[in-house]
Amino acid sequence: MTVAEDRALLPDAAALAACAVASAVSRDRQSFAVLYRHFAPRVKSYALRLGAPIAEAEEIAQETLLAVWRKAGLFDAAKAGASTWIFTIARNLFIDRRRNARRSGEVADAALSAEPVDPATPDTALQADERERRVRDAIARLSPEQQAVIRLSYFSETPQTQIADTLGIPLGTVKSRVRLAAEKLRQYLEDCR
Amino acid sequence: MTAHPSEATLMAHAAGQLGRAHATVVSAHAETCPHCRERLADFAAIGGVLLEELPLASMAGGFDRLIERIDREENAVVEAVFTGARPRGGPADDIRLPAALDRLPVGRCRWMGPGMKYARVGIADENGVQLVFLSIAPGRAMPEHGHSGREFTLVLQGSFGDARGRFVAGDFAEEDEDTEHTPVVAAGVDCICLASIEGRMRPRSLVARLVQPFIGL
Ligand SMILES: [Zn+2]
Repeated sequence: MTVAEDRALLPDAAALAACAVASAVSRDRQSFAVLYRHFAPRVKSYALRLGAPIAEAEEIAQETLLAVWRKAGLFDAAKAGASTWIFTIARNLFIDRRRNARRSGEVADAALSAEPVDPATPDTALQADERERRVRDAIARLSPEQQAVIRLSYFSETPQTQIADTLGIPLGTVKSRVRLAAEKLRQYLEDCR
Repeated sequence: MTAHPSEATLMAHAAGQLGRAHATVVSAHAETCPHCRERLADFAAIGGVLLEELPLASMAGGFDRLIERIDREENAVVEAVFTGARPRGGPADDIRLPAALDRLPVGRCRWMGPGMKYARVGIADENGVQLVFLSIAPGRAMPEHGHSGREFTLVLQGSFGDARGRFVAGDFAEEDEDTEHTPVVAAGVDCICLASIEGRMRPRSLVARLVQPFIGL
């Protein structure tokens, strides 16, 4: 199945959120299967871009969806969309694996296993679907080059190097491009309020 | 002065691209800064939206493999987590008990219904609260019941689930007059619990009503 075909069949954000809730409330495996089919291949893609070898990327996708099943009770559809929630789970899982790999051989330190990544739980009443709509609009307003900068900032093993390669600019000027893209994004997000 | 991390830094943080030390400082700031929490929520949502746009990688083993794993975990024999003595007699004769039960006598194991056994623990409770071991076979539902007082249940082995989720060895379930539930034991192994039961259980089903006078719970 091509990506384009899949897009046409995409369950929308509300349907995916409903699946996450059903997974939690009634341990409904049908709903969980929908989440799996939608997200596992994307999470694997994500891990591949972060530099995971194929087998590990697959494992990260499985682990992420396993965590989705286990933590479904913590999903709050008002605070985050299903894709945002699953992105943060995958991201934290990946970070944990990298840190643990780097740490093996060092003295185990219980304090180090505390997870410093924020749950990104906002206290304002901005609804998840509203936030995702704003975000989509803001990204769409960026120039193609700025969009590439943002994507690479999220989805690459060494963002700085890859941004330099992709845009054909010296490494030294990458930082200012990233800063500019992030600030534009913020400006458009504020405009969309 | 109100000074915040730059947008680029907040974005890198939400993207998981900051190292542990930098990430810790940003997180610590965000704890007291609603402004940055809100921005981080935006950047997390950007991660979600970008995740949606990624091409689909093929998953080799896929869903069935994950479901097998979930089944295996949910049915796994949960090791008893306690280090006290092994009890003599009673339904819990092959697991270790909490040290809190050391030297308390355990009564004979009695049948209380299909797949269900219980044994009293000899304890003189000042309020007449009964202390019992319950042993329920895999896949069995406990009779649906309410409570006329508080009921504390500690899982010693195996697991059961109800509307709240799954309770495994070491988990504590608290019930009172307001709760009614139908716990179901997971497949695989008997679920053995220690329960302190105040007043009488109020069984809902016919079987339970039949069993109740018999066991005097
Ligand atoms: Zn701040």
